[in-house]
Amino acid sequence: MRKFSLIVTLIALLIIKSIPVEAHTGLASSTPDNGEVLKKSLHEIVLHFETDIESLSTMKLFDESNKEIPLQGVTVEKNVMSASIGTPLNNGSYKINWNIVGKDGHVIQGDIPFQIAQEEEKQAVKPESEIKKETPTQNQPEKKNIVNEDKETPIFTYIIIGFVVLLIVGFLLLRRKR
Amino acid sequence: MNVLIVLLELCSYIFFSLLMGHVVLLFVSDDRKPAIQMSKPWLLISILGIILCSLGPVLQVVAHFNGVMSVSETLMTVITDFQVGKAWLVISWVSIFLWFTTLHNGSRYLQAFWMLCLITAVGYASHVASLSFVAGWAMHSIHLLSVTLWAGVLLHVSWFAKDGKNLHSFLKWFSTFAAICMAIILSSGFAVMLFVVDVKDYVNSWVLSYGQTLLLKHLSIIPLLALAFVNMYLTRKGKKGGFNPFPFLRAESILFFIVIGFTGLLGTLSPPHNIDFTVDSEGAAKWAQFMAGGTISSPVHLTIQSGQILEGVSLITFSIAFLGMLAYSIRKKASIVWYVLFSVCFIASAYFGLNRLYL
Repeated sequence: MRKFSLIVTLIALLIIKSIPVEAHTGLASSTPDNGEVLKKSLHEIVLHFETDIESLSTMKLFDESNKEIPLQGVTVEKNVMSASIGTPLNNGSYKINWNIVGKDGHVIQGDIPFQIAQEEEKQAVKPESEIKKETPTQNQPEKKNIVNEDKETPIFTYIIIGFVVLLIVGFLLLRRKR
Repeated sequence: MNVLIVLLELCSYIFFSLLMGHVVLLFVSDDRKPAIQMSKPWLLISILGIILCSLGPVLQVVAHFNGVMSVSETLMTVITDFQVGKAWLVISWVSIFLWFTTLHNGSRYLQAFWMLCLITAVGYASHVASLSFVAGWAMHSIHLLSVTLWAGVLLHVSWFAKDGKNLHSFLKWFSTFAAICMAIILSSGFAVMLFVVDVKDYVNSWVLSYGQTLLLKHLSIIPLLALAFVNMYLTRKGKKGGFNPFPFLRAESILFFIVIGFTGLLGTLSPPHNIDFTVDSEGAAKWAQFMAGGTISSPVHLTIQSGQILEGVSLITFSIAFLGMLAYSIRKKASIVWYVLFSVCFIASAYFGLNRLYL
């Protein structure tokens, strides 16, 4: 038995050692980048994913008013999905919505907000507050994040009462057995 | 739709286990196992069941693209082009070979070979194989193989044994066999988990449905192990008879159904590779937010103080009390209903307790 447990421990150690700890399915990098403000017009969108993706994966481009802008030639090659934009984009906020299927059949989707602010027309830049809303919050050294600090969830009180009753009833019923 | 896929997944694990158990018992001499009354038609139906139930992951993708493309077109693409589709084709072919081998009472070695092929085909399309091809494929296959080896024999003997004949010579080898399988199941399962969840992110993943389900799965393994240990202990101790292992074996198999139910559910949820990203894009799980009593937003960093300590600790104390009640009901030789009831109570109160502490 001791030998056996030794072998098991060794195997387990080997397994743990051999596993790469990093593993993120999803977007690795993209052009344009998440929240990027582009100074010139955009002709091509390229998304790099962490793992290979299946052929049915797609992406769509939306403008400020959520109107879809047609993309041309969406292609998937291993872990890269790319498409070209037919008509040049005007200044404003845009959103790429990607929708991929990993090799295991898992479906993952996400958004990449970005903006175009060419030098010539400055008026199209969005107000600061709205930009903040769209770029994901990063590097915020905040510790807790449950916004609503209201801890009064009465359901737990009922659960506790329920379990106490179950414990007592169960014990009494079992004690009566023989 | 999701409920259907979870049910298909659950059934496919049961069919796999039944067939694997059948093959294992073919290799055990008659005086070391009880007579099993599982007729050939059931085995043949199980094999067809595998073909049908393995279609689940394919259906999931097809359902996702419903509306974007026509169903037949998507189905064709998924089956011919996707890893899950190719795996399903392999599973179907191998199942057909296995079906004819079983029908004509073919060699047990051939049946074992087909079973191994099926297991590796499932491992090929698994989530971990998509992350790290060789290591993930191997780990998932080993995990599935050891689970079906153990559970298969357990299901056959606990539900289909004709009588208690040869039971003690059976339990003698089965307790060692089960212990070895369990050791491999737990270590390979842990390895598979490491691909998906970082150990230090384990608690944080509870804000997502995947993490919640994984926690439930892990908690339901605990009473299963407890029952298995009691069974092993009583087998060693009560050699002179008077000990009836059937309630334990059956309670173990019911807990096994609970564990694979959660496993099936895990397959339909997106894994928490990047928790903050998932919370941003999809939001935290509604159920987790309900328990937390507020909205959960990124960055997620759960600690033992983030919930309510008093209620959490008392719920965890109850869960230990329920394990005690499980032991008490075993001593009182209560019926299997009690074993299952106290096991489920343990799972529930430990689950709520941990969530109350951290959420």
